[in-house]
Amino acid sequence: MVSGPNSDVLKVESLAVTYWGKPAIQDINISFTRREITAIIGPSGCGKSTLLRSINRMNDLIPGARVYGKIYFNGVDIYSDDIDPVLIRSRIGMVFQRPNPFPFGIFDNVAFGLRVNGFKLSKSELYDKVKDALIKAALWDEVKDRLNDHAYSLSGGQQQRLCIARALAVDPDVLLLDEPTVSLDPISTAKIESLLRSIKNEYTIVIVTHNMLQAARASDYTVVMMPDENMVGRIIEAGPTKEIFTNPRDKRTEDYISGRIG
Amino acid sequence: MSRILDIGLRHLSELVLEMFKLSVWAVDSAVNGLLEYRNVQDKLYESSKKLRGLYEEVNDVATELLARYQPVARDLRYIRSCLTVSYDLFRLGRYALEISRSSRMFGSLLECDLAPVREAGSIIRDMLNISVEAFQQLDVEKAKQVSDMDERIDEIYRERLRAITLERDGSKECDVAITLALRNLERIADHATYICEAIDYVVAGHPRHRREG
Amino acid sequence: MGDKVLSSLQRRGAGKRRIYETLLPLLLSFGLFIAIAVLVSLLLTVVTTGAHRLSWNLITQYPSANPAEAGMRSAILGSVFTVGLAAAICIPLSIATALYLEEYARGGKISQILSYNIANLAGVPSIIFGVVGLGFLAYGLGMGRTIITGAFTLAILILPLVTVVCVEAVRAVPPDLKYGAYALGATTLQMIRRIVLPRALPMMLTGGILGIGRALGEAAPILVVSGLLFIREDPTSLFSRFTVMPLQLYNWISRPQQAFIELSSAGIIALLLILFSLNLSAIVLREYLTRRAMEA
Repeated sequence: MVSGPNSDVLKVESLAVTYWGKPAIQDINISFTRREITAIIGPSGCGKSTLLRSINRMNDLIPGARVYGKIYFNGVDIYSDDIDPVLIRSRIGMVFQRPNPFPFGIFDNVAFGLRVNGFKLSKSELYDKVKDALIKAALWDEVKDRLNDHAYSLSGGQQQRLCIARALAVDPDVLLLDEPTVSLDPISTAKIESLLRSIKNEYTIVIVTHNMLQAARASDYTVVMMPDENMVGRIIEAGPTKEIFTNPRDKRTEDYISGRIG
Repeated sequence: MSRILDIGLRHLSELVLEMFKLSVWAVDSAVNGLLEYRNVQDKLYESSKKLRGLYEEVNDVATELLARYQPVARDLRYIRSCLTVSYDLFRLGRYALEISRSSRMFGSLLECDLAPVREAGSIIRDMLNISVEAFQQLDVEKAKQVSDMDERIDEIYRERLRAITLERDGSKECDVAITLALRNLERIADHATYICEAIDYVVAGHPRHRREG
Repeated sequence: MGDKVLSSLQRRGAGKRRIYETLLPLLLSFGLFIAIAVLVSLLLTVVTTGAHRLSWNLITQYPSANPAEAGMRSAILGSVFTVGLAAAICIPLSIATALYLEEYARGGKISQILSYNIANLAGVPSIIFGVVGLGFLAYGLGMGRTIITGAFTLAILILPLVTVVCVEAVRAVPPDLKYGAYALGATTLQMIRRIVLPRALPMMLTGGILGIGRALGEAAPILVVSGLLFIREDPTSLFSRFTVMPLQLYNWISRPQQAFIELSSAGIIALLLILFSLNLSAIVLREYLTRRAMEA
């Protein structure tokens, strides 16, 4: 079990998720260190995305999905009855596998979260927040002269950075990324890995990736998941990325990251 | 699932093994040359050059594997160890050459008390043979044996030094020649232990001396 | 060597395959030509028989025994009011149903039951709706054989059609966009308002237009509800008696005089023109909304 030196912003306790009764992940116990980048790796179908989606209660939106266990966010169990999942999602943001900008202009995309969450901002305050988010997402210079252009006029890599800016605009504590660079070219991928590093000291970042080398490059901690003999996903190892990639403790981790299985 | 990297790793092992054979032969020849007053300097010069070439090749292959395949975990540790081991083996060749030079310099030493050299040489031959096996099989037990044997070599060397300072008479050539030979043998033994530490690193993941404090 | 390659690539002469290849497009388009030919001949028949009867009388005058003075003013007004009201009832209901089915009750038992029943309604013969309208609305609830009864009857008639189109419209919104909105902390209502509706509305309205077109052409259920093939007064309130254009046309066609047959052709032209302009305005509205959605 990985724990950080300061109080962990996220603590997952005995988490299990089933889809129509069939378990997808089980016995998940893990903490995510504040202001570090944690990568979750594992072969396809081992439940990485399911785990990620549990953190911001996106699994609630999937028919047939049931979540068991607790997830503590700053000490509060987000699955307790009196917690509103909608509010959770404004504090824990998510970026998806395929860029999914809204069919509006660039500015309106980034401002969406602010408008939807009832931020009372003057026009100039709104502009500042949008600009700030776009700067953090390393996109400002490329779009500052065309904020009203349609989001679809951007390239794939730019659209994904737009989605990151959109998520950052509401100032979440945690940013979740589900294989964010899987559909992008290597240069866009590198830009995004680099921008994550640059915003690390303000957010806690959890990134799911099936590219082990991305985890090796871009993360401080790595969590390794594997399906067991019943195809139920479990965490088999977790630790500082350097340790995992130079001297992993579990043989399955060793085989997976060396490319012998999965 | 066999990987492209495995082909490269095999190539690397073969190179290191070749270096092993050559350096073991060199050390053996040097010691025997000293004990039997035979001139092996030229041959050892050749082998030293060859070892140098192999060392460069190991570095090239290792670098290529690192750049192209981004190996991790045990593969990575193995490649790193091959790099350090190849350096140690290259040094063995140099020390062997040094030993052969001293016999050339001092003339016949058949009059001297060559017992310590003979003993050290024998121990070192065993150390090196075990090291080769240990590396091929990545056997940590065998590796441990070698570091135990190193202590004996250190003893022999220290005894010799003490004996020299105590003796007043005795041939100066003998003293210097034998001391130099033992010195080189002691360094050879050290490098053998470095090789075994590298084996340990591949298998256990941490250098042994770090774990034992 | 080159010859072998070349000959393996060159067009063969007439072989069986070539014959089929050239024949197939002709055969397939044959069906299309027949359909168009029938349509064109129908239009031609209608236009040639009725064009000379087109006059302002048609829409300003009440039906009369004298074909020179007869018009379908009351029927036109009756159609416009009932169908208009039916659309006003049905379209919001369909949109709400579709949103409920797709966004709130997804996959649940309620959703399955609802969808099943709506699909079944689509197969019910339209006259049944007339009977239900008469028995339940006109007499049961005491609304009488009036415009409002006709409107409700038509609304239920076109409900399955429009709802199905609305459901498809909501489904056509990429789930990625919905998840993106949710992930930013939007409630379902916010997501519907900002993401789903702008995107789905054009298709939904198209469904509405389809429904209107269908309702305009319905004769049987209105015959049951209203009972009148013609009426010589304007419908002035929701509770007026009324008739609709298809029924008026049926009235004229059943008359023996050639003049009335020609008049009914003229009426058909009028009906077609109304439908055509409806569809046109639907397309215009859809384009406008689609463009607005892209910019919002």
